[in-house]
Amino acid sequence: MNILALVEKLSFLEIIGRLGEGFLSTLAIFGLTLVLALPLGLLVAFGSMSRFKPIKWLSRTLVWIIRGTPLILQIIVIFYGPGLIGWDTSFLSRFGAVILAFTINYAAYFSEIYRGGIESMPKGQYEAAYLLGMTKYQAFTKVIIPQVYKRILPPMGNEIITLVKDTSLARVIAVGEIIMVAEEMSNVYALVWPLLFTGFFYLAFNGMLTLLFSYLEKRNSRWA
Amino acid sequence: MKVLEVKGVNKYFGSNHVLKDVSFSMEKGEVLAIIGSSGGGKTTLLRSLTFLERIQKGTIEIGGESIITDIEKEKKPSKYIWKEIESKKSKNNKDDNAVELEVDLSSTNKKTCAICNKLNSIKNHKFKKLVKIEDKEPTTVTLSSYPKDKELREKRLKMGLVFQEFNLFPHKTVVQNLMMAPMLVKKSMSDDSGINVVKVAITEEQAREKALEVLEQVGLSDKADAYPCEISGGQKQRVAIARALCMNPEILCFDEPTSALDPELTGEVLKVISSLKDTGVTMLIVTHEIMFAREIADTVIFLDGGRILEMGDAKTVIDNPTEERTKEFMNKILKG
Repeated sequence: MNILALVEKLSFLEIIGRLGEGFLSTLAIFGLTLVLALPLGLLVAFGSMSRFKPIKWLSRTLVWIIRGTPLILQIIVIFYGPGLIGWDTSFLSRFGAVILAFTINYAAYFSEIYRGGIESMPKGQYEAAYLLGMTKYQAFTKVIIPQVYKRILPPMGNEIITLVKDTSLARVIAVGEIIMVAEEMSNVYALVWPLLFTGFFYLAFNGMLTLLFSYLEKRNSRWA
Repeated sequence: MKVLEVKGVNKYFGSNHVLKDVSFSMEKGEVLAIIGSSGGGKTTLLRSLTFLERIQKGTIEIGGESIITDIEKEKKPSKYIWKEIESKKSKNNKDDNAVELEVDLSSTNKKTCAICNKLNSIKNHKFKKLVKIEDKEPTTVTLSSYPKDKELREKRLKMGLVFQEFNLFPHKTVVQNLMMAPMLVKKSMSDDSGINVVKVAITEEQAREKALEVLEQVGLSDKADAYPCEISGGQKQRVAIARALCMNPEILCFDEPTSALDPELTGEVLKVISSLKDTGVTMLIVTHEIMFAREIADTVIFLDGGRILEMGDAKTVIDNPTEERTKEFMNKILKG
């Protein structure tokens, strides 16, 4: 049989190689989302805290919608939605749609972490900075942000690790990340173990992230 | 030379009149203590003088420079009549639902507050929505604008403030806490030629030199590289004093500097404040430590219910108060 012949041709290393390629795509989604969503989240956080009501209302509604619906649905809506109402979205590739959906989704979650951190800062820190003559910008960047950074590291680590695993949702619009590659193998070659093996890729990468975050936390552990 | 002149300062929180026509002045090198029971407006006064709170009326002059002048110039009392909007349910006897309210705007700062208070005072009112139907005498409210942020920041440099809760920057070491603002904040000074005025912040070396010098003054040279969480409350407060001193303020203000400290630690902070008096620092101290105020202050102000009840030579006011309320307060404090 044809299929059995193919199965014999796949060596262990070949399978790992293909999974590795799939994982590269996983990492690409992860990295791009992180780079785009971290600053965008800060913008949304400022929006949510704005004294200008329409902006505040807009930001909070966005966060409500994004956090209130499943990411898998958001990916589908972003990829198929515009076409359904007659927009030309040929410029948006599958990969592009995934990045867009992930960025918006994670910016919303990050924005709430930022907001929590910024709002947890006591008023006295701002007042002390102002009394010493600092501008609002100086007080925010030199006094508030470094302290917020320390406070939000643990929840950020949590969210970022979740992002690594959420990338597997990209396959809903056929963007080939590691789970999709493994699934194909199980469908075509009747091999289940590569699918289970993907877990090791996630574990190893998240292990590294965990180490990175505990290092970052430790760097600021001397002050409280 | 007068370094601070406060005239007719009024401050409201909503309809709550917190400072009522507070006026006093300070000479260079003078130490002034503000005493009084909690809720008397002491802290609010200090926060108003450092522009952390906005006053609604009055004049504040620092170093001969008028900073805030009569924000709220005049408000004539006026009469408003408010009436319930006709709702479907109360088609009949509409007029019974109309309520006349007289609002005297001279006594409160915001007309909405005045109206809310009026409404609250009417029992069982069922107003869902109110419309203003008549404005018999339009108010003449002239507001001169409160100084802008940038302007306030420059004026603020003349004032230093030591907070009750220290408010040190926890992510910086002691010496960094002291160096931070001097390195960031540009101050006007004449350049090398001595003619032009340039705005510059001092360099890191200069800031460090100054910081170490001031730390020596408050007796904390050995804690320069400690983080605020590694030192005691009394030491934190001394660092806070040193931090304020690094900006060379004309007036150093203290907001109950020992209230967050246990009795054992207050001594070291009071000692530092006393030593500053000897070096001629002008100080404005809000405090609960009456005996300390008696000892260190030249002048004492007794603030009660937002009003200056008594003001004068520290020992006279504390030993022989003239007002009943002051006597009562002193008796309570001194007898414990």
